[in-house]
Formats: sequence, structure tokens, C-alpha cells
Amino acid sequence: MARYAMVVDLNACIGCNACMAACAIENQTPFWAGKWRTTVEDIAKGNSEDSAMRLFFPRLCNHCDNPPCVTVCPTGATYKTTSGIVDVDDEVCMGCQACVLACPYDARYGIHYEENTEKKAVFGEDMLKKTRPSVDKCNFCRDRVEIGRLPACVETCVGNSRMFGDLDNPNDKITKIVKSGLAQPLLPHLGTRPNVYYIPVTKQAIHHLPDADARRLHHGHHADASGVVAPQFIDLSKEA
Amino acid sequence: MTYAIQEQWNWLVAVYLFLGGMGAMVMTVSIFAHIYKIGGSDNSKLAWWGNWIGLIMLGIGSAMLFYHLLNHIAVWRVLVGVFYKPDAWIAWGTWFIIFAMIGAFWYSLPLTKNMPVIENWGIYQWFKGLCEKNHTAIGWFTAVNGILTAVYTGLLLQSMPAIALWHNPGIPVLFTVSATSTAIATLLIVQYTILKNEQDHALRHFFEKTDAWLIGFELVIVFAFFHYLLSGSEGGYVSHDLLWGSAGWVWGFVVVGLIIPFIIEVGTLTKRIPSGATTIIAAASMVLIGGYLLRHYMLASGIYEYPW
Repeated sequence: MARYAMVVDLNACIGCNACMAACAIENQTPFWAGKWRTTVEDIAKGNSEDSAMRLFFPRLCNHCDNPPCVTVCPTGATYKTTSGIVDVDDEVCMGCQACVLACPYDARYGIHYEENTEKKAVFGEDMLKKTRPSVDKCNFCRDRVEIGRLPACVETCVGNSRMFGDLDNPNDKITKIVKSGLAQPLLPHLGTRPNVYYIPVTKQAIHHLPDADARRLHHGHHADASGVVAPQFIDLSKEA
Repeated sequence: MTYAIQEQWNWLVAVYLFLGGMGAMVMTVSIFAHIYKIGGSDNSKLAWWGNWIGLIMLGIGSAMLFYHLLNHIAVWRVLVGVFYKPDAWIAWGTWFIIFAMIGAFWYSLPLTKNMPVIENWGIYQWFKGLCEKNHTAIGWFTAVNGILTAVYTGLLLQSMPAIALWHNPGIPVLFTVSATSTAIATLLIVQYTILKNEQDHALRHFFEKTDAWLIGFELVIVFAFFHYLLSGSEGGYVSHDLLWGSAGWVWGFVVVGLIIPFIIEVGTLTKRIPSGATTIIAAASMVLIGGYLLRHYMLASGIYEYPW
């Protein structure tokens, strides 16, 4: 049985938000109300020209192995499949939103009656995958994954920042990355055992380059003995 | 790191937690006062009022939570939740509340002299007799479910691992003590305003003494929270700043809701402050205000630490 997981390379995300758009259309989320199954945080850091950096942080449900959202759900609407995907059955969900509170990753949101009505108008009532007001969240595009396709966000990611795979397959690219220790889960101290891993920013390029020619300077990748590709960034400001 | 205040559970849920815990313990305390004839008085009127007030409080509290649901039609599913989701406290809590309300209704029947409309119905008389025959057992059934309801209101918050303020064993203890204290305050108000029974003086004295102890214990727990939140997690520290930076928490809950009624009750018990209906009603009212503010600020200060 598969154990699906995702690795997000923070060095490769360019903040185009294509993942958000693909997910919203694929999963019919009420994006007009600011509700997305996946979002990309746009983070500015630093307080000087030398330290300034901009970082994009894609986030989604972490499909935890010890999911607090599943524990608190009183109706059994939130459940974990044998392949590791945490999903919500909107027919069973009464919308107490205890799961929204229990999630440490801000990965869930409630769909209210009005938003549900609007969903029918935007996506077409006959086309709706979920028809009831309930709590919604990422399910790794379960219907796509079950027929061998990639989640919409992974398929559309232009920088290959998002990688999807099966941790039970030792030859899977993401299994190698996770085993190498290069990618780390979020908030592991909470004991949630997340299945989304992040490759941290090793060295972010400075955006305000002193010389336009510096843009031609490259950042490369190298493969280690295990075949894991690790990003290696060059500080463009120093090179220039 | 980003800090965010939880927004899903607002004042509606605070009212649910407040009325749920207090209403359940009003039933429990009044039933024990009746079964064990605390203070040597009959206490049957107090038990009748206690059970009906508890029923109304639990009804209003549950209505608040129901109103807050996203899909009201699916609410029945919570009733079958305990059979396949026994780790979810809401599933258990719903049954505790239902059992406590049913038990309180049954317990009140033999204490009801004249039930409107149905008093002379044969089936009603038969059922009333059945309740009378098993009165103590029904009392214990209601009281146990009442206590479990009060504890549940704290366990509900404790089950959220990302919020340091909630995810600790102190919350169920604090909420249970507060529920008992506010329940006794409610019953004291009933005694001083509705019943005005001179023969239950010993029971009132017992309630005042117990409430003083409970408020004292609550002050110790609140101090422990003050200290616990100061270090250990950033989220907890932010919650600490929010709580102790809020006038409603410091002046409303800690000072008006705990310290002043504690001083009044200890003062009247030690006869340093003249006891009387006005004094006790004032202290009890302050305890009730504090009881709501405790839940309100506990919800409003729930902080997440996001790693982005």
C-alpha cells in the first residue's frame, strides 16, 4: 500500500501561484471568499539591502500520520485512508469546525451555506464534487492520484518545487530526499507526524542586483551519492 | 514564524462552554443538596429550580453550538459518533449533555406539584411514579452526566494540540472548578431571590464556604497558568500577553470575577463583612460575570504559531 507524501523545495518556488489556481479549479474551492486548499505565503525578510530576501512558502494539508483533525472529529467525517491521505466526507460533516482548530497547519476552512450556493453558480451544480456546506481541505487530489495522475498543484508547478510520491517506495525520488534528511516536516514537536516535507532555503538570491549582468550568473544543482539532487545557490550579490 | 488568533470559535462557543458547564453543575449540585439533605433542610424546591435552570442553560448553550454549525441537517451524525469515533470529545459531550438534560427532567417530575395540561393524564402519573421510585438513581445518573459535561467543556479545548493555552491538563481542571463555582453562585442567587427560605440557612452557609474554597482554588490555577504561559512556547507567551494585557481578563475576570467575591465570601464567613442577601447576590453575580469572561478570553487568546 502506498504512503503518499509531498516534498516542497522552498528554493525552487517562484511564487507564481499557479498551484493555487490549478487546485482551486480542480477542487472547486470558494477562492472568491479567500478560501484555498493550498496557498503560497509571500514572505519578506531582512532589514537592509544585504539581508533583504523574499521567500515563497507553499502550504497545504500535511496529511499527518497522527492527525489531530481526525481525532477531534465527532462524526467521523474526517478520516485517513490506507494510503495516508486525510480526507473529509462532506455528507457526514456537520461543520463544528473542531478540526479547523485542531490543525496546527491552518490547512482547513469552513464552507458556509452562502459560499456553497455560490459554488453551484460558479462551477455548475451538476459538476460539483462536494455539494454540502462543510469543512474543506486538500486531499492530495485523491481522485487524480487514484488513477495514477499527479495532484493538480504538482502537475502545474513551473519550478518543480512540489514533488509528490510514495514513501513506501524506496526508489521514489521523494523517499530518497526524505531519507537524506534534506527535507524536514513542519512543527514535528507537536507529534502530528506530517507527510509534507520542506527543503529549507539554503541561500536565497538577492533580488536587487547591482549589475544586470549578474542575472546571467547561474545557480546550479549537484547530485549526491544517493542520487538526491540538492539545490546549491550562489550569492549573486557577492559574485557580481 | 507567524502568530494567528483562532477565529472559528467566537462568543457563541464561549456562551456554550459557559452555560454548558454551569448548567450541568447547577443540576448536579442541586441534586446532591436534595439527595443528601445538605444543611438538614429538605431542599426539594432548590432541586426543582436547579434542574430546570440547568435544563434551560444547557438548552441555550447547545442551541448556540447548533447555530454555529456549518451544516445543521447533519447534526444527527454526532449522536452515532461515539460508536466509531470514541476519541472525539464532542461526540461524548453531546451524549453527556443529552443524558444530563433527560435525567434532570425526570428528576424534576416527582418534585413538580402540578404539571400544566398533562397532570391528570394516566401515563404521566405512571411515569412520575416510576421516577419517584427511582429518584436517587436518576439523581446520580444526572449528576454523573452533569460532572462529565463540565469536565468535557475543558477537554474539548485541551484536544487542540497547536494552541499552548488550551493544550494542557490545567484547562479541564479550571473549567470544572469554574463550572462548580458558577453553579453554586446561581443556586445562591435562587435561594436569596426566589426561595427566601429561612430554614436553608445552613445550606446557604455551606454553599458560601464551598464557593470561597472553589474561588481560592481557581485563583491558584489562574496563577499557575500565568506562570506556565511565561515560558515554554512562543504561542503561550503571546497568549500570556493577550490575556494579561486585556482589561476584561485582568479587571473583569481576575479582579471582579475572582478576587472581590473571594474577599466578600471569606469576609462574610469570618464575620468581618456583614452577611446579607445583597452582599451574597452581589458576590454571586460577580462570579457569574467572571465565569463567562474566563471562557470568552480563553477562546479569544488561543494562539497558533505557524512556521512560515
